[in-house]
Amino acid sequence: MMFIPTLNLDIAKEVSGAIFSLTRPQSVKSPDDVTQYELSVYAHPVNGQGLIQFPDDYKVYIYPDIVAAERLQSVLSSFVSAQVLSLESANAVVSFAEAHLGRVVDITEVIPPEFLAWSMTEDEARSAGFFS
Amino acid sequence: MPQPLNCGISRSLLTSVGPFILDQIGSRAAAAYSVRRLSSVYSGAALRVRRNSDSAEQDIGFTPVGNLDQDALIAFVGRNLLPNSEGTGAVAGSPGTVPTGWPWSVSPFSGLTRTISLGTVGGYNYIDVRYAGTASATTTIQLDPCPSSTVAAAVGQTWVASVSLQTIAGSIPNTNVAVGLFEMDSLGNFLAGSTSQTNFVPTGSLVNYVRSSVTGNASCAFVRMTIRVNVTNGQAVDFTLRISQPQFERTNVSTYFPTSGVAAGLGFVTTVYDQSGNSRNATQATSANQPRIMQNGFVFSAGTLFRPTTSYLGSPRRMDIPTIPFALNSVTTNSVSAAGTNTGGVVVGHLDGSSRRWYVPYVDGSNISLGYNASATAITLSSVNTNLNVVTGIGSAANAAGFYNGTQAGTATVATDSQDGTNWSIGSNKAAGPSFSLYYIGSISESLIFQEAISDPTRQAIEKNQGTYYGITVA
Repeated sequence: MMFIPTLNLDIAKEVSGAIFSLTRPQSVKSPDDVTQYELSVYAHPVNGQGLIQFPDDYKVYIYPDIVAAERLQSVLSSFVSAQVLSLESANAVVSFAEAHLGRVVDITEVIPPEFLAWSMTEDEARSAGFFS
Repeated sequence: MPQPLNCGISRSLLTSVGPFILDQIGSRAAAAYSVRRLSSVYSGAALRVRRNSDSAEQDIGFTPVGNLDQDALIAFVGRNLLPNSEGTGAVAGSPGTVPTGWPWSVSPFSGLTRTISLGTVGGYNYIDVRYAGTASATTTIQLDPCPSSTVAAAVGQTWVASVSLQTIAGSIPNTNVAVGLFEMDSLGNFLAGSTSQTNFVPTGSLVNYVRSSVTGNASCAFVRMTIRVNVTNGQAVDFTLRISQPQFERTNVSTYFPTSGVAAGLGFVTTVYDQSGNSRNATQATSANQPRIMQNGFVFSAGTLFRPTTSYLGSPRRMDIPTIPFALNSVTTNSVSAAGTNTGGVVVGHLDGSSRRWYVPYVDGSNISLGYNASATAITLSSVNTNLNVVTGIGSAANAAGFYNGTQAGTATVATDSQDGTNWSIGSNKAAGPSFSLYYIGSISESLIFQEAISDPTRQAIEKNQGTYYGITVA
């Protein structure tokens, strides 16, 4: 199981939501739908950091719908603006998604390597104060 | 979505098919969740379900007698285990591009050229494939709509392959198109002698052909649907075959369900609707945490009567319940569940900010217990087992008591703490974080919560009703 920290819970939810958007066509969206996120997220009880959780071998299907890739680009752009992600990395991830429309891919392929570099184990997340 | 009571359904009609469990008792539930109808005055759905094939969601209701409407569920989720039955990714031309994941013979093939044309019929895609030339070998043209190792299987299973075929032009070599399956081992290799297929003769009309098979090789780990045409060395070939609506499913042939990247047959629960009238619907907005209601085209079932159930196998899965304030000396929770393993976790749980628990029940490697106040295992109800069981926990002014299949199993000293009620959930306690030991690994069919200590006659009426419906022996 992998855990990736984010600046706050909203960012963790946004990333999880963007990944869920990759997996579904826009045409089946309904106002009554409940599902918004792909991955579990947690908030740090003290400093408000967010945390994204997923199994090491988790795979996602990229629906052949360009809007999904645009959503991913929109989310990653905010990280670029905040200078926590390089434009090159953001573009590489979006390009990968667009090149793999209709394919099942490892989730680590659609998460920028800078973020993966911050990943931690459950024990490390507990040591950092999560889940207490 | 929350439904107003009696919306669109006459009460006289509903009461005529009861009695339902909440009609039989005097107490008013604070929340009531089930895969069956619990009340004659509740007119909403049982569950909201997300299908895996495209993540669309739909409410699933009840049959007229109050069972889960499995026909509607299967129709929505689908049973087609081919991941790309609509043939997306195909490009017309000669040789053209075959659909994503369809392992067709490369072109040119044994002296034959291939041309692909695309279109729709009846709202579904078709592929017209033409092979022409003189065959340079006695061989088989492979038109399989199914990757080698994506459909898991085992020996002794019934599989149904179906596809609509039409001869558009020319004559099919050797007259026949074979439709059926190959059995494969865990590495995706063909298992010798484990082919089941029927030769059909496609006509000038689009006709659906069906082949049912039972896997017979003990090493079978995958199955692959096949569509094949045999050619003979030196044979002049020129035919165009239309292929549409391929479907590969377990047990029975059902209505065609189109897929375009992800197989059907897998359904998740996004909402378990509250039938108490209090609109405390239990929800899960994160797909990775949603329990399942269908897998491989089958509805999960539990107990000797095989009633539908929701599966919490593969942690962490959990349905979150809106706030239900209560006190540890004035609360009742009842559940019908079956642990899938000997470390089942929490069926219905609440954990407050000071680590005071209300778990009904908590399953660990040794026992099924009532979690109460400071202890996750305050009252031992039974040794651990994987049967479908009825468990009731009652916190009263006298004591906290646990009941296992109708028999009182023990008591604990009463505590008077009032809880803010914000951390209720089904399948764990809402404050569990990633701690897998608290996530329930099993199936959950029904959960009732009361903001009071219900009476003995009320408890017995509930448990007897559940025992009768689910096939559980209740004392």
